[in-house]
Order: sequence, then structure tokens, then C-alpha cells
Amino acid sequence: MAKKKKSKRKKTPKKHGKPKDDYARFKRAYYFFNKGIKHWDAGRLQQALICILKAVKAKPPEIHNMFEALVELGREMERKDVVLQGYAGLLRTGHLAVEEYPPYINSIIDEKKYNEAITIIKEYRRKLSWKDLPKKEMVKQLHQASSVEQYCKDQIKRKQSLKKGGKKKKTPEKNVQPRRQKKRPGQSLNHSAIKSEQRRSAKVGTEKQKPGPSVPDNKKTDNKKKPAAIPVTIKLDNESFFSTLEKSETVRPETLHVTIDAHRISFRNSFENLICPPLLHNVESFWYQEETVRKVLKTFRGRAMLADEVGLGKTIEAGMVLKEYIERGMVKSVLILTPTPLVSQWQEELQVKFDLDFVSTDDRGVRINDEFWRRPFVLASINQAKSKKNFSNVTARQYDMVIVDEAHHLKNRNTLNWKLVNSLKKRFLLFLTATPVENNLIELYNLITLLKPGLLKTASEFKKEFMNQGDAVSPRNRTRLRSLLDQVMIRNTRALAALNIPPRFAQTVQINPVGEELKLYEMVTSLACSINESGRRMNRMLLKNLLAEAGSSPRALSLTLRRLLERDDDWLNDFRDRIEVIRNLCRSITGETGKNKALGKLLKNTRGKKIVFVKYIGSMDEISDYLSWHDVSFVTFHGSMSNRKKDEAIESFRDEKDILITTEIGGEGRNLQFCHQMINYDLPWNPMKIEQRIGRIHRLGQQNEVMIYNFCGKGSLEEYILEILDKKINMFEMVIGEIDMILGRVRGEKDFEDMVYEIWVNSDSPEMRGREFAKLGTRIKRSKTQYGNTRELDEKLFGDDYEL
Amino acid sequence: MNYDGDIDLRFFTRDFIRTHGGVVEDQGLAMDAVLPEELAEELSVSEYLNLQFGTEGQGEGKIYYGSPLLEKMVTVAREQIPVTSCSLRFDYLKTAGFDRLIQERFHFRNGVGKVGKTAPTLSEYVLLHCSYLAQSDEQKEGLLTRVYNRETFVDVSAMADGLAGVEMDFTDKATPVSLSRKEIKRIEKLVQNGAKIALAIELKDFEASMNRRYRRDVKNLNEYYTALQQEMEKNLKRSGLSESLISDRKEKIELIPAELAAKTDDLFKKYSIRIKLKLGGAMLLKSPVVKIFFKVSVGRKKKTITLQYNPVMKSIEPLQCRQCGFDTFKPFFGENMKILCPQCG
Repeated sequence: MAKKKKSKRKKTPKKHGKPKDDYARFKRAYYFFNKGIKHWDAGRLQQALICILKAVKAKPPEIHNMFEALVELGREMERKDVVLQGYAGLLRTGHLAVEEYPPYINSIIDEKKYNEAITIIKEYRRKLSWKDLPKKEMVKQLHQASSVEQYCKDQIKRKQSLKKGGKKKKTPEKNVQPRRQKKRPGQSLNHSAIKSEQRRSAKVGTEKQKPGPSVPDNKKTDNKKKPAAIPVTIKLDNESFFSTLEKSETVRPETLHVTIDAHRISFRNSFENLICPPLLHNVESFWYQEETVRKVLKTFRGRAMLADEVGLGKTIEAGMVLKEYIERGMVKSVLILTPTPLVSQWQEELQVKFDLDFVSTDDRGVRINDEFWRRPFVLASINQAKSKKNFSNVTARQYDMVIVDEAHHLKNRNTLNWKLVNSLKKRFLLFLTATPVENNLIELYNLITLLKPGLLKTASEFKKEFMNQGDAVSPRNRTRLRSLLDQVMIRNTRALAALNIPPRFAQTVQINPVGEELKLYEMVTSLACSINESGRRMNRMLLKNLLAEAGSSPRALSLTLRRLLERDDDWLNDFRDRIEVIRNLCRSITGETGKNKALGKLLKNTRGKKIVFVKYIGSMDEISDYLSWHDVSFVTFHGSMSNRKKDEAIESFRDEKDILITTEIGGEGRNLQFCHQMINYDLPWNPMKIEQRIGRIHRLGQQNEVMIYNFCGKGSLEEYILEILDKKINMFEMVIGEIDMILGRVRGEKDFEDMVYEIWVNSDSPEMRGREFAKLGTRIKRSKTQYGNTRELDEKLFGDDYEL
Repeated sequence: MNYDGDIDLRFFTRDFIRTHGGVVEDQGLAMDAVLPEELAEELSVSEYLNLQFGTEGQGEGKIYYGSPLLEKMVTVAREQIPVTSCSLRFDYLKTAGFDRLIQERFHFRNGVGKVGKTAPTLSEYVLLHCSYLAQSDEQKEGLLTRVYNRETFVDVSAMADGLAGVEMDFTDKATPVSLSRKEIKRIEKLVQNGAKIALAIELKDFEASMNRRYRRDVKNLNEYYTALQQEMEKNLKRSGLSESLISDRKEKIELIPAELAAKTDDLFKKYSIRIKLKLGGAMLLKSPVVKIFFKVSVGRKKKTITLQYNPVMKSIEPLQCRQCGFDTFKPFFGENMKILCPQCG
């Protein structure tokens, strides 16, 4: 009976796991926590400890704050057990900062819990690898962590051998004595200290002489205690309560509503409460982005340089600022200037995420004439805007807001870019760049002068006050410069954003074409070269598509060829026979292609959920047939499905099936982080599209390392692309956004996909192709090095000084 | 594409003028309004107004975020702290099934119980809209809504969300509001405690941001003073310094920690968050409820406690700990069957 009661009681709390209980827990925890802090402030450490432990017991949602307090309090009380309890809690809740690992590990080793220490060292190494540390520093820290791990292992072995020795009762005395221990790595004890330790150990006959272990303690470099959290005090306006509730009269409900609305409006008025977040679609705006938007609106008053590190979402921040102004009725006309290859990307984001329709210089069928530049919302390539034809039109009118993406292109005041933006009539101005300074401080001066003319005075005054002779990148009077830049610039770092996403790795799966596949690819290439030679530039899109389909699957290619044959264009007559032959060849190739076999093998040999990305529906059908034939269970997801079907597909993938086959739009806006493996069955030529695919699973909330399998046929165009993107510049392991920074320096006005296409169709022989791709690879690699240098320079110059 | 951020402003403007005795007429995108003389004077506009929404257009009737007229209207509206009174009406009031509800919601840690009698009755609540202003290096404003049972003083703020779907009969006639000082003091205490938790959630990012800035500034300060001290100590080693100069400089070096501490304290004060909470409006509610007499046994001891079913929340209201005053769904029956929360019991 008693047992029954017990089990019943155990079950009951589950029913209570409702938000209201969380709230009550939180409430209680904070009550005790605040009480504890008061005791602490008053120096009553023991009472403080009791209260904080009570708060921890209530398990509130923000329990890590309490664990942090335990660590601090334990240090103050000099109680290791409390410190360790705090650390253990932080580790358990995933809030142990990388810098806290070394002291934690050291404390555990002091307690001789070597096995536990090894587990934590492993975790530490994993965390270190996610951290954005300079390579040398990273290697050093990893090396030292390994040394300490080895030390722990040695200690465990020693203990075991001692135990064995202890069992043999009559062992000679020298065997009972512990062997002289190895010095703990990373610790530099002086000679006398070691000797005195050894003397003590000789006396006691235990293993006490061990010098204190030491993982490099990042925090110790500060040599200062981490400051305590700032206090929050709440004061009630008693007068408002008493005057209202004690002696007043009731009014009509409308009056109350108007008053409450007035409060809400006044908050909006002051930019305190952002209006835009609920109006955005498929945007997970992070706290630092919202804070940045507030700062731009409140502090910078709409003129700012957003210089966040790559991958933190500057575009989202700029879009939010814009949306905020539009919703408040403060902006009615906008001009956005971007490098040419980014125009369509911006247009799509503005439309999909911010519900803003911009006319753009990329729009098909739109004439870039006077009328175009008079439209309220214009998105333009900066090259088009500055051209002779357009310059006067662009600068003639007034804009409420101007946004310039990749604003480092305005670094030189003698260029047309700079002159164009300088001539624009604008109220609000936003610059977006991750690298405001590329070569020298004058570049920064030129940018800031566009934003706030006169802030840095004249160029010669700026040079005199802030630049060192002979060193164009190390400023003088840093504090003064910082205070000035603080008025216009914000630069959030990855450390601040704490985007702890596990790393990602890529593997190329090279496929040897079987049977007629090689012939098919060669025929398509030859056809593409012939059509290209015929000089019809209108066919560029078609040819790119044909080649990409040939790299994807015969069925995808076959569908397009069929449509092509149905067309009535004159120019096609010269090629109809060849197209027909290729189509027949496509149809003769069955599902057992080299690629499908490789896919089947990979799916069989690897465990866990996988997303297979394809560019074409034809390829999706081909894979579906192949997998069905081989009794492999899967689910498909594509753009023409209804929303309900899409939801069902994702649900089925999450709960039942292990394989999701999806087109490019796969899962946009849906959480797929429960999966950490993806297969690029075909490879987009545009690296940004590849990043978008990766971004579906490699994002906040992903718990595991992400594995990317890239399929490519041997000798295909995709193989060359992978050679450059993966082998040469290691794109798949870079931070999202970096590839664009690198390609932006190479491509000029050309897209990467155009560059590879041109090499492919304009090369006379495979050797020539090889040479041209090698050249391109070298250019891109050089660009990566340059970008790395610029990034380092900016890190050195700005660090975290301009964070929120 | 909808860029119309003016809808809220249109409604506010219309209601504001009407509640202040004016007349408003829709004219498509604009509005025509006739204001009472006093109001027109207070807003510094003429009695007849053509109201236009957005930054475009001309005249004194332009309304957009930041416009002078809107700011004045907002200020006037916020000067009042209105109280309304209403009764809630329900077509159906639950009469059975309380055992299951209690079982789901409560966890009696050292006793068992069962439902005795139930009785429908009326209960009074007070709903408070408090505006808060959190100030630190920056400031943040917002509204906080709390609801309390005036009889048991338990926190039933979840009621506020449910009110939208309930029929409410408002008292048209002005009636005096006269809560006792004792009750107001008790409500204030509840608001103070409730706000701590509610604002901790609401201002989480704001607080985190201030903490980050504080830590960053302290770090910079430490670095600066460390460098300064090192520089001064290095300078001491220069040859040719007189004894008095050396001792003078040594004194200055010794003063550095105190100066650093003072500066750190300045930062601490600068970033500390002070929240002012002011009542912005209130609503006195009368609602039908069901009182449940719940018989509890702890060993041989027995006690009947009163629980209350709240039809707005469609749930049972919590109990109050007799020691700390916090609400609880996990009561422990202490000495003399006193209700205690998990922390006190």
C-alpha cells in the first residue's frame, strides 16, 4: 500500500509541469535568491549560501544565474565544495563559459577526481574548437588541455597500480611507496617547492606531493575578479496607488482604454518597444539585433555604420531599422545600393522577410529610366546608380533613407562610389560592412565623413590627431577616437552574440559515371559549347541550366530537353537532331546510375537522419523511384506542396522517416535542426545557394556537428567547383557569410556561377579547363588570404569596443 | 504590401477626442474633429481640426509617431489614472468535476483530501495596469498588468488574458472607489513582489545588456589602471629622480587601487537598474466563482480549507502560504494545519 502511495506521488509532479508552476518556481527561486544576495551584501555569507541553495532547489528557468552566484560565493567563502557545486550546475545547464573550464578542471583535479576531469577536459576541447580563437592560441590551449588529460590518465593508472600493489600484502617497501609523480603539465613549480612537496610526501607516505594541476587559465590573465551582477531595484509610486484607489470615482471603460493606449503609443514613440518584430516572416531576430535596431533609432538617430562581424545578420538589422521607420510613418522613400551580384538576394529578403516590395535594377523587363529612379522604394546596383546615364537621376531626388551594403566600397573619396553617396539627398543613412578598414585609417575617415560630416574634422586634422606616421593602421588617441566612433558605429562580435553552433564538416563523394552517363555529359557539354559559339547570348541561362541538369540527373535533363524540342525557335533547328539524340540517351539510362548507387550506399552505411538536397523536381522523382525500388523509406518536400502537406512531411521526417528529399526551398522557415547530416545530390553553382542549403540545419539550436556530403561526377563542372570551394578555400567549414566576402573581392561584377560557366564553355580542351579553373582557384585563395588579413586588422582595430 | 502603421493611431485619436467630449467624423483617409474649447486649448490647436495621418500633408492636424499633436494627446491621456468597475457575466458556471481539477492543479505534500460542499458566490478582484520605467545607462518603458483576489490576495494575473472573451457589464454611473489603506498597502506589497518576477522576465535582455556593458567597462578600466601602474613603476626606475619625487610618485601609485575602486563603483552605480512602477489605471471586477470546501486529512488531523474556482481562468486559484505570503499549488500542512509553501514547509 505504502509503495502504491509513493508511486502515485511520484507521478503527480508530472501533471504539474505547466507554465504556471514554472512561474511559481521562478517566483520562489527569485525570492530566495534576492534574499541570499541581501545576506551576501551584508556579509552574512552562510545565510546567503543557504538562501541561494534554496533558490537552486526550486529549479527556476534561469538557474544558471544561481550557479554563477554559487561559484562566486564559494570563492569568497573559500569553500571548494560550493565552487564545485556551482561549476557542476553551470556545466549541466550548458552555461559554463569556456574561460571557466580551466579553473573548474583544476579544482576537480585537486579533488583527485581524475575520471571526471577527463570527461570535462573532453568537453572543454570541444568548446574550444567552437571558439573563435586565433589559430596559434587555439593550438596552444588544445595542446595544454591534452597534456592535462594525459596527466589525469597517468594518475588513474598510478592509482590502479597502487591498488594492485596494496592487495599484495607483503610487497617490498619501495613498491608501496608511490612512484615519483610526473610534474603537472602547464605548471612551473620552483625547485624548492618540488623538494618540499617531496619531503612532505616522503613523511606521510602518500601521493600528496603532486604539484597543483593547471590547465591554462584564460581568466587568470585578467588577474581581476569578475564583477558581480548589477542590482535591480524596484520602487513603487505610492502616491499613484493611494490617490487612485483610496479616493477617486469610477469612469467609463473607454477612458481606461484610451489611457492604456496612450501608454502603449508613448512607448512606441520613444523607440523603446519595437513595432516590427511581429511583422517579420521567417526571421528569428536575436536579442543583439533588436538592441542594435534600438540603438540605431535612439542613439544614432538613423545614421549609423553597422559593422558586425560576418554572419551575425547585418542585413536583418538594416531591414528591421527600415521596417521600423516605415511602420512609424517616418520613411516613405528608400534607396538601397548594393554590389551587383547581391541585388536579387536583397530583393528576395526584403520581399519574403520584411514584406517590402522594391523595384530593382535586376528586375526583368524593367527599364532603368527617369521613372525608375522616381519610384519610392528602389534597390539598385551601385554600379548602375553611379553610371553616367543614371548619376543625375539618382542624385536629383530626396530619399528618406539610404542603405549601402558592403559599404567598404566607399572607402576611397576619389571614387565615383563615394561621390555618388556623398551627393545623395538623404535623411537617414545606413552603412553595412564587416570590414570598415582594409588598408588604412583614412578609409574609416572617408566612411564616417559620409555618415556624419565633420565628426572627425578634416582629413589633415584627423591624420594629425589620430594617425601615426609610418603606421597607417594603428591609431593614436584611441580613447578619443573610440568616443567619436561610438557615436556612429556598432560592431557586434560573435563572442557577444554567443552563437555557439557546433562546427560543420564536408566530404566530397566523387562518382565515376557508369555506362552511358559519361557520354551523356560530354554530349551536353559539346552541345552547350556549340550553342554558345553560335553567339546567342540570350541562351546563356538555358545553357547554364542544361549543364547543371546534366550534373544533377538524366531525368532532370530529359524534362528540359523535351520542353526545348517543343519550342518553335528558329535557332533550334540547327541543333534539333543533337538534342533528340541526347534526350533518347537520357531516357535509356535507368535509375541505376552511379550517383544513385552511391546515394543508396551512403544512406545504408551512415546512421541518423539525412536531408537530400536536389535542385530539380526531375532529380527528386528519380531518387524517389530509386529508393522506393530498393525499399528505402523516405519523405519528399517541395515548393508545390500545400502548407499542410509540407507540415506533415516535416513531421513525418522528424518522427518516423530518416530521409527527407527536398528541393532548394526545402524547409525554409522550418526547424530542421534535429537533423545534422545533409547530402548535396547536386551542387548549386552559386555558393550562396549552397550556404542557404547548409543554413537549413547549421543554425542556432543545432546540437551536433554538421556533416555535409557533396556528390559530383568525375570530370564534371561540379567537381571543379568543389575543388575550389572545398579543397582550395575550405568553404564548407567557414562561417556563414564569409564566402561572399571572399568572392566579392574576386568577381567584380560577375557572379561566381557565370565565371565557372564561361570557363567551361569557352575552353577548347579539358587541359585548358583545368588550367583556367586552377587560375580561378588561385585568385579566390588569394582573396581569402586578403580577407583574412583585413578581418584580423579590423579585429585588432575595433575588438569589442563597439559592441552593444 | 501594407505600410499602414497608422491604424492604432486612428483608433486612439478617435477615442481620445470622443472620451474628452469632442466629435469625430471619418473622411476617408483623414478625419474631421470638433474639440471642446478646453481640450483645444490644452492641445494648443483650433477647435475644428482636419486630422491627417502620416508625415505628409499640411496643417496642425498631422498625426504620426513623434508628431507634436500626438505627443500632446498622449500626455493628456496619461495624466489621468482612471478606474473602472464592472461585473463579469457567465452563461454557465461549472458545478462538478472539481476533484479532477484540484488533482491536476494541486499537489498536497503531506495530506489527502476530497471535495466537500461547493457553493456559487461572487468574488472581487482588482486589475492594475502599472507603467514601469527601468533606468540605467539607458531606459526602457512598458506596461505590467496584475490581477489580485481582494479577499484572499492571491495573484491571479492570468485572469487578465482571459478577460477578452468574457462578457462585462460596466457601471456607467460614477461610483466612489474607496479601498482601505490596509488593503492598498497589501496590494502594493503584492505588486512589488509580483513585479520582481514579471519584470525579471520582461527586462531579461535589458538587464543582460547592462551587465555586459558594465563588465566590459570594468575590464577596460582594470586594463587601463594596470597599464598606468606599470608605466609609473617603470618610470620610477629612471635615473636622476630625486628622493622626494620618488616618494611622491610612490604615493600616487599607492593611490591607484583606491581610485580604481572608486571608478568601478561609479560604473556600478551608473549601470544599476532602478525601476519605477506607477499605477496607470485600474479595474475593479466582480465575478461569479465557485467556493469549494475541501476536506484535508493529515494523519488524524483534519481541516476544511476553501478553494476557489475561477471561471475566467477555468481553473482553481492558488492557496497562500501563511508564512511568506507567496502563492502555492503545493501546500504543506504544518503545525495547526497551517498552509505552507514548499520553501517554508
